Amino acid sequence: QVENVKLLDRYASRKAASGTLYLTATHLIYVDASAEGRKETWILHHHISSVEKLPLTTAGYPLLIHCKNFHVAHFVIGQERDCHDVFTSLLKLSQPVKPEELYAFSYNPKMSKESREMGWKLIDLKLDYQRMGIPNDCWEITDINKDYEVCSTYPPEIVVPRAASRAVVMGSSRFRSRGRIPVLSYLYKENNAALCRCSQPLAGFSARCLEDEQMLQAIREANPSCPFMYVVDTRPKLNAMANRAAGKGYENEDNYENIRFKFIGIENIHVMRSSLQKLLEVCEMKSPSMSDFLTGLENSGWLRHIKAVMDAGVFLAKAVREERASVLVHCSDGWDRTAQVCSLASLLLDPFYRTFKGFMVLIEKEWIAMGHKFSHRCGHLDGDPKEVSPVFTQFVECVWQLMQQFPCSFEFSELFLLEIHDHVYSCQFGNFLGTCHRDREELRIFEKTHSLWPFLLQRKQELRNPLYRGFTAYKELQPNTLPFSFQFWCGMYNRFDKGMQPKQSVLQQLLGCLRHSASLEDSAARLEH
Amino acid sequence: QVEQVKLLDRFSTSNKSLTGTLYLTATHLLFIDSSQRETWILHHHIAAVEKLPLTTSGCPLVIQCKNFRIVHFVVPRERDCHDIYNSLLQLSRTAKYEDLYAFSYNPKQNESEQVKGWQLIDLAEEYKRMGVPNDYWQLSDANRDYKICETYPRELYVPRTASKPIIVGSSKFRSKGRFPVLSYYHKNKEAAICRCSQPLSGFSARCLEDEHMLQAISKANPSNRYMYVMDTRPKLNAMANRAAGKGYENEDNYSNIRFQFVGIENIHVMRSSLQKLLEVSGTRGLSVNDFLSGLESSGWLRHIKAVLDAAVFLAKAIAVESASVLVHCSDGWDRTSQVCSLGALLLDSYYRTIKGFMVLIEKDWISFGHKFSDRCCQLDGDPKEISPVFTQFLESVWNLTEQFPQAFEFNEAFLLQIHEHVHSCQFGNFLGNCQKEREELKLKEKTYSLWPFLLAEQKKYQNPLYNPDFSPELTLLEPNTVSFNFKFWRNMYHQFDRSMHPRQSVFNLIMSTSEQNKQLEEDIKELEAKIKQRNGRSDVVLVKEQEQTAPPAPVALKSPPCFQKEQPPMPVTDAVRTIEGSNAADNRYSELVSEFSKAEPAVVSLEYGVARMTC
Repeated sequence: QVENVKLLDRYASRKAASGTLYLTATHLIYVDASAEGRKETWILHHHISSVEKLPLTTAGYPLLIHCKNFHVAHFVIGQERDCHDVFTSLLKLSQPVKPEELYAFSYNPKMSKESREMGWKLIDLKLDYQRMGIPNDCWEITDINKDYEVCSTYPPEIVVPRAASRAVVMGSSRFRSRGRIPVLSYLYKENNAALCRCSQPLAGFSARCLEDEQMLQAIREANPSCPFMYVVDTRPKLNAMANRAAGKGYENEDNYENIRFKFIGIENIHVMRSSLQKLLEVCEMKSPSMSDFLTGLENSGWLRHIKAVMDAGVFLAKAVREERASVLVHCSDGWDRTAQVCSLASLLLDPFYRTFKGFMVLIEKEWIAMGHKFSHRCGHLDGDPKEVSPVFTQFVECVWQLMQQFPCSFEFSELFLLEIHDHVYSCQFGNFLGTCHRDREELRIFEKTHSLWPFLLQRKQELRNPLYRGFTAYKELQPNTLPFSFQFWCGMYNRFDKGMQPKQSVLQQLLGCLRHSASLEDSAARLEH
Repeated sequence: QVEQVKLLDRFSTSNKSLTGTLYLTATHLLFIDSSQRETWILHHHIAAVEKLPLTTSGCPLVIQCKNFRIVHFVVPRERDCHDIYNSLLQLSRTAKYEDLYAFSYNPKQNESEQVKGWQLIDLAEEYKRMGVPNDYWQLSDANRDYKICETYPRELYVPRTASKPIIVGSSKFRSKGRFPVLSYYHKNKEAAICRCSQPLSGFSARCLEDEHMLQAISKANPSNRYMYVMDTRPKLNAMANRAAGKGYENEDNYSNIRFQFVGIENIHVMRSSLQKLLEVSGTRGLSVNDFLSGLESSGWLRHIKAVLDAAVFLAKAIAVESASVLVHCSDGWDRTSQVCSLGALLLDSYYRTIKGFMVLIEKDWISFGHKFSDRCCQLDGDPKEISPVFTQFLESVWNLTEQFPQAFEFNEAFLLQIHEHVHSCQFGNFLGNCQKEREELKLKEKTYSLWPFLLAEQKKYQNPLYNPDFSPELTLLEPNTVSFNFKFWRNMYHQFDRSMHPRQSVFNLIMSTSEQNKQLEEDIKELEAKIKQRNGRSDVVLVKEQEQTAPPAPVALKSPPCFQKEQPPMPVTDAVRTIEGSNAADNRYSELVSEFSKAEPAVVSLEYGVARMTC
C-alpha cells in the first residue's frame, strides 16, 4: 500500500488525480482520493505486459504500466523506495512461470460444483456439428484422435469425410506439419460445400503422399455438386516458397486432382506483432497532428493486415456460397491465420455465429478446440516473446469492422467483444489457458477452473446490440472491403482514455430506451386486462 | 436522346454495367436503365465532362459533379458521344444569372406562399433572440444603402458607443470596407463574436477610428477588460499581406487586445487539397496504405481539424473567459464565416436545431456575403475563385454530430441536402455573392427559398437520437479535436457510389422503432381513456364495497408502491385492480411517455441507403 500516488491522464495534461495504490495478490488497485465517490482503477496482474520506471521528475518517480488490453497507466509515486518496491513486485507478479499460478486456479466466484460443471457443458461442439447436419452420408465425427495419435494439438473428436479410411487419415497426418490433417471446420448445409482446415504439407520440392492426395479427393467428392475444390494457402507466396527449403511448403497442383490452388498473402505472426507495436506507438502520441496520425496509421500497416484477413474471409465465403466449392485452408501450422480465416468465413456464412451463443461456439470450435496457442500468443506465462502475437485481437477487430458495416446483424455489441478480449488475457477463466485440448486436459482445467461463457451470458442485457434484427433477418453477409471501409478502432486501442471517447454514449442510451420500451409494453399489456 | 448507353459502376470490380437510354432535358441529364430506374443529373451540378479514348464497347464519357457524383457512360456511337459532350459543356456553363435553374424552377406555389417562404428566416428576429439591441449594442443604419460596405447586409449591429464617424473611419481602414460588426451575442456572458476583414495597416499605418471601434466592442462587454482578435490566417500569409498594404492589428496600437493567429490555409490550398482527396477516393483498387497516405498527403482532414480547432478556441474564449472576440481573415467572408458560424454552433444549442441551422447559414454565410456564386462556380468564371469553404463547414458540423450524436436535431441527410442545393442553383438562397447582388437580381420575387421545402420534408432530416434535454439553451459543446476523432466522410464523397455504403441502414430501423414507440404511446392514451370511463363505474362499485366491508380500502392504499416496483399482479378483486391501474400506473405512464418523447434510440453512425436526387 502506497499513499499519495498520482495518476496522470494520457492526453489531458492538466488534472492529475491523487490517491492510494494497493497491491493485492491478483490486482493492482488505485483508489482516487480526490474524486467524490471513490473512483477505483483495478488492474489485473495478468493484464500487465510491461512496467517501466521513467526518469525522476519534480513531482516524484513515474511508473508507466502497459497492459495487454491496451490500458496504459502512468503513476507518479512520491518516494523512490516505494516506487522501486512496486516496480519489483509488479515485475514478479505479472510474469507467472507455472500455469498453476494463474488467476483461474484461484478464482472462486462462489458457485456450486454442479453449476460450474454445467458451465463447462454450456458449449457443446457436437451440437454445432449436428446443426450443420453432421454426421451425414459424407461426413462423420470420429474419435480416431482420442489418444492424440493423429495429432497432439487437435481435439479427440474430429470430423473427416466418411470416404477417408483410417489408413488414409494416418498417412495424411504423417505428411502434414505437426500431424494437423485436413478436417472439417464448417459445412454449408445449403449446397454441401465444406470449409476444411489443416497445416502445410511436408512437400518440400517434390515429395508426394498418396494418402494425403486421397484425403483431398475424399473432401472434394463429399461435395458432388462441384467438380473442383479450392486449396487456399493464407501465406504470402514468398513465405510458402521459403518453407519448401525446410521440407515443408504447399500443394503441387499437378499431384492433386482437380484442385485450384491460391495464395492469400496474410503476413506471419512476427509482422503482426511489430505492426501492433507501431500502432500502439501512434496511439500513445500525446497530441499528434493529423499528418502524424495518418502517416503513423499507414506505417503501422495494421489496417492493411486487417483488410488482408477480411479479404481472405470474404474469398472463402464467396467460394462456398457462389461457386459451391469446398475449400481447404492452411497456413504454416494451421492454428493462426487458418483460425482467423475459417472463423471469419463461418461468421459471414451463418447467422447463428452472430448470436451470443453462436459466437461462443465459434471461438470454442475454431480457436480453442483446434489449438490456437492462446498461452503463447497472449504471453500468459513468462516465455518466448517471439511467440506473442495479436492474432486473436485481429479476429476480434475484423468482427468489429463487420459490425460497423452491418449494425443490425449481430446480437452482441462492441462491449461483448471487448469483454472477451479482456478475458483472453486475464487468465481468470479456464477457457483460454494452455495451447491445445490435450494441454488443457493435463492442466485439469475442467475440474479446477471456471468457464467464461456462463458469466458472459448472465450479462447478456448489457452486452447486447439494441439494433439486432433477429436471427432470420440477414443470412450471408457480403462486406465491402475497400479501404474506405476500415476504421481505426478507438474503442479498443484508446478504450481507457476516457477523453478520447465520443462524448455521448449512444449505446447505453439506446439500451436504456429499449428497457423502457419493454416495461412500457409490459405495463400496457397489464393495463389491457 | 441516345439509346443503348452503358453506365459503369465506379468501384465494382466486375464489369457489370447497366444499359439504358440517355435523355437530355433543358435542366437535367436523365438516364433510364432497363429496369426503369432513373438517374437524374442536374446540369448545374456538372463540374467537368471528359471524353476518354475510344474503347471496343464504345465511346466513354466521364461526368464529374460538384456533389461528388462521378458517372461513367459508354456511348456506342462516337457521333452521339460528341453531341452529348458538346451540349453538356454548353449547358453546364451558364453565363448569366437569369439562365440559372432557380429562375425557371416552378414548384407550383402561389405568390403568397413564395413570399411566406422567404420570410421564414427572419434575421431581425434572430438578433432579438440573442438579446440585441440592448444597452450595449444597437442596430446601425450606416449601411442602409450599401454605401459603406457593398458586401455586408443593410442591417448591422454595432456597439452603441460607436458613432457614425467611427464606423465610416473604421470601414475605410478595413479591406473592402468590411468593418467590425456583431455576428453573435452571448446573452449570459455578455460577450460577442464580431467579424471584419483585415486592416489596411501595412507595416505601420494606424487608424484612430478603427482603434476606437475595437475599444467600443471591448467596452460593450462589461465583464471582461480585454478582447481577443483572431486572425484565422497562418502568420506567414498575414505577414505577406503587409507588403500589399494590408496585414493585421498591431497589439501596441490597440489597447487591451490579445492577438492570436489560428493558421487556417487559404482558398487555393483548400481547393487543391480537395482535388487530391477526390483523386484518392476515386482510385480503383486502392490499397489501405495508399488510401491512408493519400488521405494524409491531401491534408484535407488537417484543414478540417484546423477549422474546428479555431472554432473551439473561439467558443472557449466566450464561454470560459467571457471575452469578446473579433475574427477576421483576409476579406472576412471565407474562413471568418467558417469560424464564426462554428463557434456559434458550439455555444448555442438553438443553432443545433433544424430551424436554427438554417438561421445560422442565412446569417453568417448568406447575409455576410460569403461569395457562393464564385466559390461554387455557379456562373462560368474564374476557376481560381472556386473553393470548398462551405463544404468544409458542413464537414466540420458532421464531425461534431459524430462526437455528439444526441445534440443535433438534424441528421447527416440534412447536411448533404443543403450541400446539394448550394450547388444546384435550384433555389434563390445561395445565388449571387452578397445581399446587394441578390436584391438586384430580385431573387425574392423570381425564385423560391430552399428552407420551406426542407422544413416540409423535415421528417427525413430528423435525428432520431436528438435529445434536447442533453443541451439546454446556451450549453457549450466541447468537442475533442485530437486527430483520432476525425474521419473520412464517406457519405459525402461517396454518396452516390451505392456499393460503398454499409449494407444496413440503421436510420430506418431507428425511425421505425420510434414510430413503434409513438404507436405505443397512442395505445396507452386510448387505454387511459377507456379506463377513465370504466373508472366512473368502478368508483361506484368500490364505494359500495367499502360500505359493505372495510378491509379492501387499505389494500387499495398499499398497492400503488407495489405497482411502481413492478411486481406481478397481486391477488385483489377486479374492481380494486381497475382503480390501481387508473391511479398509480397511469401516472407512471405519463412519466414514461414524457421520457420517451425526449429520448429516442441511437446508434454510432447513421447511414442512408441511397441518397435522394434533386428533382
